Amino acid sequence: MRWWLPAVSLVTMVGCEPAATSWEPVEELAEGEPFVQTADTLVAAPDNPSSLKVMTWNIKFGGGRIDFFFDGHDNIVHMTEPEVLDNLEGLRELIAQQDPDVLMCQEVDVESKRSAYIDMVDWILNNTDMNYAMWVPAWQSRFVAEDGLGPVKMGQAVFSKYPLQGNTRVDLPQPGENSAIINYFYLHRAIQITSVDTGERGLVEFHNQHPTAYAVDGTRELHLAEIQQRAAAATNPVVVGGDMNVPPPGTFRLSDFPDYADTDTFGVQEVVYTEAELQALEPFYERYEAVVPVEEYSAAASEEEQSKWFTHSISGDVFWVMKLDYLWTDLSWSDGHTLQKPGDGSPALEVDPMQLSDHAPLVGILELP
Amino acid sequence: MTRFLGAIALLLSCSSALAAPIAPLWTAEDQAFAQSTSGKGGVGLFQPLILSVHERVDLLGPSLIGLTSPRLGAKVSLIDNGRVGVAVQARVQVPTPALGLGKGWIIPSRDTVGFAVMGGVGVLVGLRGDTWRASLGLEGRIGTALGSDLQPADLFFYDTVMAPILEGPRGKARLQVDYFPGLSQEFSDGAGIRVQATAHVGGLGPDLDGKVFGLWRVGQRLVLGAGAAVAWEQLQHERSLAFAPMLDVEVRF
Repeated sequence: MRWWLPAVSLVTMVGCEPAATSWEPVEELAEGEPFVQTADTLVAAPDNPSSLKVMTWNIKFGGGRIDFFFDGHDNIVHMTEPEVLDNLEGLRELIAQQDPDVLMCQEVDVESKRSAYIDMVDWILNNTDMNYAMWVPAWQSRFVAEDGLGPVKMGQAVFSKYPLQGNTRVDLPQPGENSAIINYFYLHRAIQITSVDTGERGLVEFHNQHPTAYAVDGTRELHLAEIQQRAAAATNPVVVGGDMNVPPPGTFRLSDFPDYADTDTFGVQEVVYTEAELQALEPFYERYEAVVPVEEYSAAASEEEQSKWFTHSISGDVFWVMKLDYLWTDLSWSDGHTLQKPGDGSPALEVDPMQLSDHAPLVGILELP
Repeated sequence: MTRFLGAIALLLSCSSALAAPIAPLWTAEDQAFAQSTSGKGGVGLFQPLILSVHERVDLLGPSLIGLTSPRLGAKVSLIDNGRVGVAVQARVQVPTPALGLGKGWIIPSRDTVGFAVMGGVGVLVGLRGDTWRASLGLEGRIGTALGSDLQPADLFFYDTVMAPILEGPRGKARLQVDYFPGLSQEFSDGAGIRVQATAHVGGLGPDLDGKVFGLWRVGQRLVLGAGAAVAWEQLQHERSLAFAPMLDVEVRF
């Protein structure tokens, strides 16, 4: 973040509406757009299902594989509307091929200049078989003075074929290493909690996650602990999933990832994970069943063996380099797939996820009680 | 830029009004009436320079902050009978340095900022009372940034100022009232209030903004100002309100 941000902040803070949203520790956002949306045309889903196909996917605000300035590989700031719609069409194709019952998405823009102000909750809802959606903000600012980024509204969304109940936003602490003025305009990470009404088999809570990616001051561990506590307090069966921004315990490579731009590129900072950060995921594996069991993952003899579960790479030219995306439940998974390339999944993918986002989708079949 | 500053310094140093006992509290920026006294004028941190070079002609220049967006203009009083005034005004502005300074925070650093120029011509019609004066100004504004690919920044106030370059030709209507409470005319030695309402049409607009601004004289030549501006602007994604506090330090000569 640059030195001039406070100067612009002085200008943008004076809006009749605050320059950035005020954030409550826990907020119920179950009324009104963009928080709650329903498809214009509802698509009938089977009554009282015995299982749900669940997918989690960080969709990178419809950015596809465009190299944005903050990644260091190029200097793109804003997309045109056709670019965004083209990228969303790619997401739609994959969603249609996999046909999930519940889709947990991260980095969903609803009114951001970088994504041509397209409401992606509305777009996905009305271009797939999803019927209902809940969205919570994780970044809302009237003007972000980072390379002309401008207005930003980004968050997490849960889409479902079945009715959703409640939409709780739990605010997560911001990195203490940032100044107050930077944090005012910075991401406010959050947990999204909503419940899917499956009919006779009752409610299933979905905890949609996207904790901090860059903080190295212990914020990551704080976020993971809060996520764990909230999940433990669930009063119904629970699915915890999303982009956790930390690799699993037992990961071979924790630094020097091949997809990173040179750290002498302005604004690019090297990400190095510590064993302590990885261990912070242990409680999730101990308490819940994962789509990719950690025993299997950590039993791999090499990075190459682990790579079949990787879900993230910054550069579209470098195949997935680490696993950051997860699905856990206190119920059980009967099947699961990391959708890395065409041919993966069931049914087999026809599109290439590498071209659609900097994260690969993860799917699991959730057996209902 | 150095030459420009030098020219201003030369004009100020040659001003016979430097020896005058008192200078107007309010300058005649955007007013239908001329400064009237050759050599009189003022400039502020944010208030643009105005300098009377003839009883019916004022030169218009940039504020000190506005040196990053140099401008030059003239206002010619056609009618001024003491109560009614009619003037015409024309100005040209080169915001190239300001746009360049905005690269990396308001403007994406990858965007090209070429030579930028904006111009406007307008007419001012005004009335003057004992303790107030009011002017209605109509102005057409055009601009271009050669070889640039600039888009609206979607930033309140900024987009309106740069609109001829970012959004295309604009029309502007401005009503401005200066009030000098309990004192005669603008040669008040106390305080005064300016109320300004502006409507912009064209581009993404229409945009509306308003300002209330107070001035307090501190000594012979120093004037302090404070106020607030409110904008109701059409950005690419929304129309909503924003406001900003305003502070200024101005000199009169």
